[in-house]
Amino acid sequence: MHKKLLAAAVPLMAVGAMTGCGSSSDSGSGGSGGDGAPLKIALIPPSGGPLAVFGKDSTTAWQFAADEANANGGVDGHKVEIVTSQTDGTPAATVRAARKATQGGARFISGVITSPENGALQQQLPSMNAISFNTFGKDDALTGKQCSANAYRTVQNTAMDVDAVAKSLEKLPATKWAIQAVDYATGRTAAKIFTAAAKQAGKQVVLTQYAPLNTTEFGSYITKIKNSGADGVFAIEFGADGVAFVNQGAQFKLFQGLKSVLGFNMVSEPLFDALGDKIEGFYNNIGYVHQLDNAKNRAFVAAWKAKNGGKDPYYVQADAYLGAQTLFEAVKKAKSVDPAKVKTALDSLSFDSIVGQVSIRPGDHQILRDSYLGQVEKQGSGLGWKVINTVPASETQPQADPSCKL
Amino acid sequence: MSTTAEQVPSEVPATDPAALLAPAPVGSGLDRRTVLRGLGLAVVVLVVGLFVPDVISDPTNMGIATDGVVLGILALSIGFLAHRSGLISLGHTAFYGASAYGLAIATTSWDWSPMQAIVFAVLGGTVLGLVIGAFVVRTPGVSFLVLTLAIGQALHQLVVQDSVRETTGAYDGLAVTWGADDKVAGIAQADIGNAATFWPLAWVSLVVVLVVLWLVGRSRFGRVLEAIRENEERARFSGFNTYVPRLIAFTLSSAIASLAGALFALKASFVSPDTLSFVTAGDSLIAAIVGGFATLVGPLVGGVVYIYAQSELSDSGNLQLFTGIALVVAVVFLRGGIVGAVTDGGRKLRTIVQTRKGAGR
Repeated sequence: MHKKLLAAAVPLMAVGAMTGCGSSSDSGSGGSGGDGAPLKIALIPPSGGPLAVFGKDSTTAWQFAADEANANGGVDGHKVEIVTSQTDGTPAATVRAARKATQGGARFISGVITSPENGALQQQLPSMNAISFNTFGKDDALTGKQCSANAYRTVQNTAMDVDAVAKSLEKLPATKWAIQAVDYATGRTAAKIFTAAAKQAGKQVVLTQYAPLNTTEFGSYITKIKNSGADGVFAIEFGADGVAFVNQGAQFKLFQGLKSVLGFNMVSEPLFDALGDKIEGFYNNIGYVHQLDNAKNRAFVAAWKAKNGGKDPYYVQADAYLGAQTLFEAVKKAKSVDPAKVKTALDSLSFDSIVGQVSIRPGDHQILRDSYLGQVEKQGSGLGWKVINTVPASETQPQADPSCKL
Repeated sequence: MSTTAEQVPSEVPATDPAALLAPAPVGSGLDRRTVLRGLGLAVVVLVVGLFVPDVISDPTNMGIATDGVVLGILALSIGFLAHRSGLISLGHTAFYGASAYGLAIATTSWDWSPMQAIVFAVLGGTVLGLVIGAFVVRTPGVSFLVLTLAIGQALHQLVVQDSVRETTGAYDGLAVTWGADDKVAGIAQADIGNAATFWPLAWVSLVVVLVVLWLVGRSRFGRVLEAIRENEERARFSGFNTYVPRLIAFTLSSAIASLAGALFALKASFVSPDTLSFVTAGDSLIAAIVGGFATLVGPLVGGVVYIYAQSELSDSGNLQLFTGIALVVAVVFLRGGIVGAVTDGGRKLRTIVQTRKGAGR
C-alpha cells in the first residue's frame, strides 16, 4: 500500500515542484499603464522551419522600431522593451509562451507567424488581457470567423490582395489569359475573382487549371497552357510550387511567347536571387515596396539602410515596422500603455504611416492600407519592384468581414 | 510484474467482457478491501488536488500544470494500452484530434451546447477507436505501431482537405465558440482560458480516468490482458479469446484519448491540424515513456514534466534536441521512467535501511 501511496503522491508532488509553488506576480490583470511604465512587447516567432526566417526578420524590425523610439525618449515617455520567446511554431506552445510573456508584464504580442498560431492565440487574448498585432498572416478567417476583440491585423488580407490584382487587370497587355492555380481555397477564390474581372475588362480566360499543393512536376500543365492560345498567365502558386512552376516554365520556354505573366504571392524579394533573370518583367501583387514616396517611408528606408549595411527593407520587415508604428500611435493617442486604453485608441485609429494614411476598421480590426501591383525589373546589380498600380483599401475590401463578431 | 497465462482463472468465460471485468477473487488483486482503500485514496487525491490553484498562484505555472494534466491524460491512454496489452500506439492523436474537432464543429457549426458537444466528441472518438481497433489490434508489434501512425496521419490529411475547409478550417484551424449563456461545469467560455478556473474540470477528469484504469487493471480483465501480452499463443491455447480483450482495451484507451482531446479543445478554444499531427503523437508517446509505463501514474508525471520542459526549453531553439536527449536518458538510464526510477530508488533505500537494522541487532 505504501508503494501505491507513493505512486499516487508523485503526480501531485510533480505538479507542485515543477511549477514552483506559490510564486507571486500579477495575475494578468494588466499593467498600471501609468507614467514611466515601460511599453513591453512580446515577440513569439518560430525557432525553426521554413517560416523561421520571417519570424527573425519581424523580430529585427520590431527591435529596430523600439530602438528608434527609445532614442527619441520612448513612446509618449514610455520606454519600449522587447522580449522575444521562440517556440517550435505549434499553437499550444505559442499560447504558452504568450501566457508566460504576459505574466512577465508584456501586454502586446506580435511576431507570431502561422495562421493556426495566430488563431489559437487570438482566442486566448481576452483571458491574458493582452493585444496582438498580426503583421504577417493574411488568411481572411483571422479577421473573419476567428476574429478577436483583442487582435489587430496590420497587413493586407488575402481578399484585399486578390481584389488589387483583379482591379489592375486593365493595365496589363495580355488579352487571352490562362489561369494556373493551386488547388486550395486561395487558388480557387483568386481564379474566380480574376475570371469575373477579366470579363468586365473585355478580356478572355481561355484555360483554368488547378494543380494540387506541393506539385513538383508542372510539365503537363505548361503544355496545356502553351496549347491554349493564351498570351497571358495568371499563376497562383506559392513557395516551392511557385519556384517549380517558374523554373519549369522557363525550361519549357513558356514565358517567351507571353505578353504578361501575373503572379499571386508567387515571386517576392527573398526569391529574387534564387529565381534570377527569368522573372524579369513578371507582375505580382505586393503589399509594400521600399520606393513608396512619402516622408515617413523615406526616413524609414534611410534609417534602415544605415543600420543594415545598405540593404533595403522588404515587405516582412516593413509590415512588422508598420505593426510597431500602429501600436506606438495608439499608445500616444491613449496616453497610456494600459491595454484597455490602448485598445480603445486602436479601435478608431487613423494615422500617417510608412505606407501613407492608414486606419483600423472597427468592425473586424483589419488595417485599411493600399495594395499594389508590381513588375519585376533590373535595379542595380539585382532585381527590384516597379509599382504599376496602387489600389486603395476603399476599392479592395471596403466592408468589414460580416462573419467577424467582435 | 510478470503475469503468465497460468495465473488467469480458468473458469473465466473467454468471450464475455462483463465477466472479464468482474472483480478478481481475494488475493488476485481486486478484493473489496483493496477497492475501498483505492477509492478512499482517490477521494483524498481528488480533494487535495482541487486546492492546487490556491497553492500555485502564478497563472503561467498554473497553465503549465493544466496543460500537463491534459497531455498526461492522453499519455495515460497510451501508457495503459502499452502496459496492459503491450501495444505501442503512435495513432492515439486520431482519437484525441477527432474528439477536439468533433467538439469544435458541434459547438461552432451546429450551435450545440458545450456539454452536448463533449458527450458527442468523446463518444465519437470512442466509436472511431472501436472501428479502427477492430482492424488493427489483430496485428501487434511493429505492424500495429505503423498502422496506428498511418491512421493518425490519414485523419490529419483528411481535415486539411480543401473540400472540408468550411467545416474544419483546413490548415487555418477552427475556433471553438459557444453561446454566451452556456457553461461547462459552471465555467463560461470567457473564463475557460483561465487555467485556475479550468483546473477542477481537468483534475476531476484525471482522477476519474486514474480510478477507471486502476480498477480495470486490477480486475480479471486486466489479468487476462496481461496474460495475452505475456504470451498470446499460450493464452489462446488455454481457451481465451485474445482478440476481444485487446479490442476492449484499445477502445477504452481511445475513449480516454478522446476525453483528453475534448478537454484540450475546451481550454484552447481552438483546434488545428496540429492536434492530429505526428509531433503531437510523438509528444504523448515520449511523455508516457519518460514518465514510465510500468506504473499507473507514470505517463501522467511524464505529461507534466514534458509540458514544463517544453515551456522552459522552447526558447533555446533546440527543443527537439533536448526532447531527444530526455528520451535517450529515460530509456537507457531510467528503467521504468521517472516514476519507475523513484520507486526503485525507494525500494533500494528501504532494503539498505532494513539490512543495516538487521546488522545492528
